[in-house]
Amino acid sequence: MNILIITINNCEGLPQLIRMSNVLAGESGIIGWCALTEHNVDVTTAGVDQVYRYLKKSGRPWEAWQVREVIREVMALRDFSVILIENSQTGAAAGAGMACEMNGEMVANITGAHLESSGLAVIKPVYSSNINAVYRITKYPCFITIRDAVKSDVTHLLRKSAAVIEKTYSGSDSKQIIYETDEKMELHTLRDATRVVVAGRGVRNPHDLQIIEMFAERIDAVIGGSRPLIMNGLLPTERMIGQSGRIIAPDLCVAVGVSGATPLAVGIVQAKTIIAINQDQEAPIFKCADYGIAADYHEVLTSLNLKLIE
Amino acid sequence: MIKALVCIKSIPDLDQVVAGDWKYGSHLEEPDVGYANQIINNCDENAVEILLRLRDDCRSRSEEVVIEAVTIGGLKSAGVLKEAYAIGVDRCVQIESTLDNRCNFQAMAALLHAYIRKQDDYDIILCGESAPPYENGQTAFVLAHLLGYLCVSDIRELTWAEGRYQAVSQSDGVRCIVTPAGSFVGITGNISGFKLRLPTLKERLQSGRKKIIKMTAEDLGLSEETLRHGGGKTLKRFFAEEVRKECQHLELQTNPKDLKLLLTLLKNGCEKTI
Repeated sequence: MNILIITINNCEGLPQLIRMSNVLAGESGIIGWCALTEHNVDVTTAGVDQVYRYLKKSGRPWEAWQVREVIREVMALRDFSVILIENSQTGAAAGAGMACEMNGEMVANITGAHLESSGLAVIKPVYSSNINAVYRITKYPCFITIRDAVKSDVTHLLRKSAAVIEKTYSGSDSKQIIYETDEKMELHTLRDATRVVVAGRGVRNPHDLQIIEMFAERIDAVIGGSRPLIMNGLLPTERMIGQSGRIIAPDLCVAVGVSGATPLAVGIVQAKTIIAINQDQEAPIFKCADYGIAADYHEVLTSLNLKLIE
Repeated sequence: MIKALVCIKSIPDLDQVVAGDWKYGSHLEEPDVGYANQIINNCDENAVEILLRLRDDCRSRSEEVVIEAVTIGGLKSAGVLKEAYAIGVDRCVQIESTLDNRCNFQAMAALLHAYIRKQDDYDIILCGESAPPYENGQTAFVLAHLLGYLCVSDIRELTWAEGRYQAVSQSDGVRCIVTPAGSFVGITGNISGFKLRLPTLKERLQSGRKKIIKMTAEDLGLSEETLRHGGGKTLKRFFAEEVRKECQHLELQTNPKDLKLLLTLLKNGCEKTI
């Protein structure tokens, strides 16, 4: 099965895409990588046979319709059955449009895929991540995005030289869009953080949040929050963790006032070490934590804030 | 006059599902969440609110905005349209359908496309990003593709001034201002601190008397039987794995060793081997 990887602008989630492409391509399949990026492309990247690198003259971010133009061009050069696209709005929009145009299929936010005798099977969390569904793909090409991010290790995969086709994209940019500010850094802050404090439903007002902010500062961590916290305006949308937000995998995650309900828990379980603080000692969060403190977080954090500066 | 259409979906309120109803295993039945109330999908609620704010703003300048809500589904779907009326939507339409939406977002997009084409064109079409329980998240993208309209993701705000729309979008972390040249499809997701208006009891009672316009796939010139085969995937099975760790409970008040361990963890951030 020939697999095409598409990364846009920032190569987000590339290790995951490469790892999955190796699983699906097997020994006989070709792996192509369509890199729509200004960044340098490592052509020895694991298992990739062919790189299609497109540079954009204007330097503006790629738009979905432009990505579709590129996909059309690359698909005309070679047949790819599965197209793994970077998990971004641009990627999802481009994939959905192309799947429709090519009478194929699009599946977003999968967590796994494998080949069966009947074809490709993909795993996708459903019911707010409380359960997973396995779908069998019946139409190709199939466009896929992978859910945010376990830190995939691809160093063990075979590294080989890839042929490179480099092109300059000459299409015009849409005049309807003005990019006002670039808040990518904000987005990456949470995704790339090695230490994260996650505030849950137990954090109800700005005063509660202040204690947590002070604690996060003391341990050099970034703050994320559950959906109710975001909806109440205590944190910006980009800080949402869980099923509807970011899936994170930091070295240390301190869950404060988090009950452990699946929609949030799914966002933090990949952390190497989880410390949970919740006054309900029966809270499900303790089932997925390495260390648990069954106490009022106000008291615990106030005390820790003092001790951490000693 | 600005004509706006908002596509809303009736979903089970998964917050009402009893924790014990989520099972673990490699071959599971699909969860029965039939007892949970049907609600408007949250992302769709945000879409409705964005349009209501646009209408409020335009009314203050004596410009008219008509908001129409459309949903696809059976009997259970009608409730969310009553709710939409109560919130302030002007017209509600139900496309009656028995199609299985678990795998077939293509059929949903085709029905919406046919409905939009049958009506006078809308200036704005807003859809929620995705909806539980299946979270396909594709309908709006496919709809925009079928209509040939610009698709604006992650809309946070929509305004109308001097004959132009302006959509504030924050997509993939990049904030941008989009001024569509014509009709467009907008997608709304979760928005921080977005206050939704709640209908009063009086508004709810009044909404019960308002008429829901009903139509079928056949009314739109489509065949449900044909649409049924539109999807490119089939559902094979469900499974769930329980994540369970050995949690070491720390007694900070009574055990100085626990406190020391915690401080070491927080300062050095080590794994459980300490």
